[in-house]
Amino acid sequence: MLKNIFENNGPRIIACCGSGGVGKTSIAATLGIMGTLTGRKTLVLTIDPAKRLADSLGIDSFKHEIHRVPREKFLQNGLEPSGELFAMMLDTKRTFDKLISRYASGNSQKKILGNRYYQNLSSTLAGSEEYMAMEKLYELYHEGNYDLIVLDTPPTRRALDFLDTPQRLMDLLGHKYFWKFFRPYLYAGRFGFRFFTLLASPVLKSMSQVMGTHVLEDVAEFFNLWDDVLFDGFRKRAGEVQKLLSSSESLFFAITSPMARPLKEAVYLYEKLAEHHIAFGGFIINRVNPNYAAWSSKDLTSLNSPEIDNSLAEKLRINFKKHKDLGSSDASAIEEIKSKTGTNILIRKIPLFDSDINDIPGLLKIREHLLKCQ
Amino acid sequence: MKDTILNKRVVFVTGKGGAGKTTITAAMAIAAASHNKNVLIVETHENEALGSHFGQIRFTEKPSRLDSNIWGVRIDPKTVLEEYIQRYVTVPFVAYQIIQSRIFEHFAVAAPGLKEVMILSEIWRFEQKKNSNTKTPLYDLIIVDSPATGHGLSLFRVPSTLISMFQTGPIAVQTRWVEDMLKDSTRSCLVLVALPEELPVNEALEFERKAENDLNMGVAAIIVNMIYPEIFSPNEVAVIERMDNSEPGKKQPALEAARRQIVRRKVQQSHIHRLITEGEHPVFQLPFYYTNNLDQEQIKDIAEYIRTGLFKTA
Repeated sequence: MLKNIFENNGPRIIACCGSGGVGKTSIAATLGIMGTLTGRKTLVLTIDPAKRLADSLGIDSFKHEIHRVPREKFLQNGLEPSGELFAMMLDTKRTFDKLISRYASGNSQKKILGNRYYQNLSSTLAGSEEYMAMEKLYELYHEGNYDLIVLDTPPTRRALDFLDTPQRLMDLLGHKYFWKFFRPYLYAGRFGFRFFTLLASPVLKSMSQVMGTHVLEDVAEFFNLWDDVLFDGFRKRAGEVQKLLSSSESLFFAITSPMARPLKEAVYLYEKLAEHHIAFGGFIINRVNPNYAAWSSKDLTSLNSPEIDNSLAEKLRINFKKHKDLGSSDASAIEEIKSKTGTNILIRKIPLFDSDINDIPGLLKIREHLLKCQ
Repeated sequence: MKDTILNKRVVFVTGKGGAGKTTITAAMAIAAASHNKNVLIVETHENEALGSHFGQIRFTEKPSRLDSNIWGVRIDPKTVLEEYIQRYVTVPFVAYQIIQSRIFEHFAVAAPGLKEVMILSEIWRFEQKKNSNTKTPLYDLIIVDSPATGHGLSLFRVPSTLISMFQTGPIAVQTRWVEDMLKDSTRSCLVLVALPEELPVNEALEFERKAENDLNMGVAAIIVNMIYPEIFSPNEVAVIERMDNSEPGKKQPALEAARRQIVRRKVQQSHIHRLITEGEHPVFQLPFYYTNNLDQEQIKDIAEYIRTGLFKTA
């Protein structure tokens, strides 16, 4: 039951994963409201809040800080929450910088943050955005100010890149490899090494010819600093984040639409979570069209109203056929999930509503379907 | 010569995830091929679904023929970078050592923008490729299934960032050539794909602005995909709305489906209207096929729309 997850012994972290454009943010906001209504002090950590949704929750500027959703917003919609709702937007770059500041201080901190290689690494390394979301989550969890944190993860093609990212960062930045390569050429000047020593290596020399000397310098400086000040702290931290995510404190949901590609991503997510022994809450399938399979064209004979002429009756039949096809296309997509994952997995279907969801009444409609036994 | 998509050399198809970029890339290739163009369609390591429209699992890293004048290729930036090293490092043993080295891995995976520039410079090379006999371009039109807009923007932004970073060396030189290609709107253009919904339309409008101000790239058209077609005339809509309201509780599925059709179309049309009035480029509309998986016939149908519509106007 989806209701149980909001009880006192439920998870303290709920993560919503899935492709872009499937309505993850609305689902995360709904889960946040559900937590609030069951008396928990809830934080929704989001990546890219839709402006109208933020507006309707009474959050005007969404930058960097934690915002409280005013109680009046609930009262206006006839709700009397026993908990509180907060929202925060994730800033990848700031989180990465903060992580660096945690382990490096003074001059080396300044040097790292100013290093061009680092600046690009922190924003371009595949999975770094996802990983920083987890990092922020870990930090907020440990500050212990919230009973429940709902995470709206970044839309990625491979939704679980962040699970591999710490390892990848470690591999990439691990000092063994670095030292093997650079040490002989670097040690000459621990205090302000001379770059020409690098060029003593034919490999590095050739690389610098192809890449340009600047780039190699930046990289060398970054790795030197990384190795001195960051490596151990970062490794420990990455391990702790992993541990938290695979503990009973965390629960992951796959959010998808019935479209082929997001659905494939959702199933991949499910498999990957199992591989990493991370608790899976279920599939939330958003934007599902109604299923008219129970009706056949025979049911349409009752279209005998004086207002409906033959031409309109024919159009109604054609239109019905199209929507019936659409509904069964969605239904068979959902059946496919079931066949791939077994029957004991929770699946919740949220219908495709007539208009976009961007206010509390809309979120409450989603809630209604989440709670429904389907 | 009229400045149309068919007269360009490179078309980047981009847009929000799930809007149908891959399908439209495939359909555009079919449409261009029917104009007797030799077409190369490109997928990157991040978008690998194009092949399925041509009966393949994924494209190969060398162009392979998919149809009489359509070729497909997958660009893996790491391979391109390796080829680079081999080209510029004249001592084979040293080149081999670089490619095998851990430090090379750092560059290939994490070096800022290198991946993007490798993709773009490979596209540039395909653009430059000439038929050895006729000395005319080997591919008349190169259509790229580009990353989703968020990432797409960073793809196109990379050349200028990278030029300032590398400053000298073969990669910097190469990157300048790429930048020339991107900024020359007679050679390349962007086609944005959007869905007729609130957030996708917002994103398309934002991308449109950035493309011109920030990237200096030309937008040839915005394609709005999956539009509910007009089935009922205004009079018929009125009849249906009256009937639906007059019989509460007694649900007639055909009327219910008609009501959904009418409401969805209305919502979609308001977003399309916004795109047309607030946007600055031709908006080209494609119908919805009431399915999650398009079949070959439907793709051919879309190709026909592109041939007779988009290619005539943009």
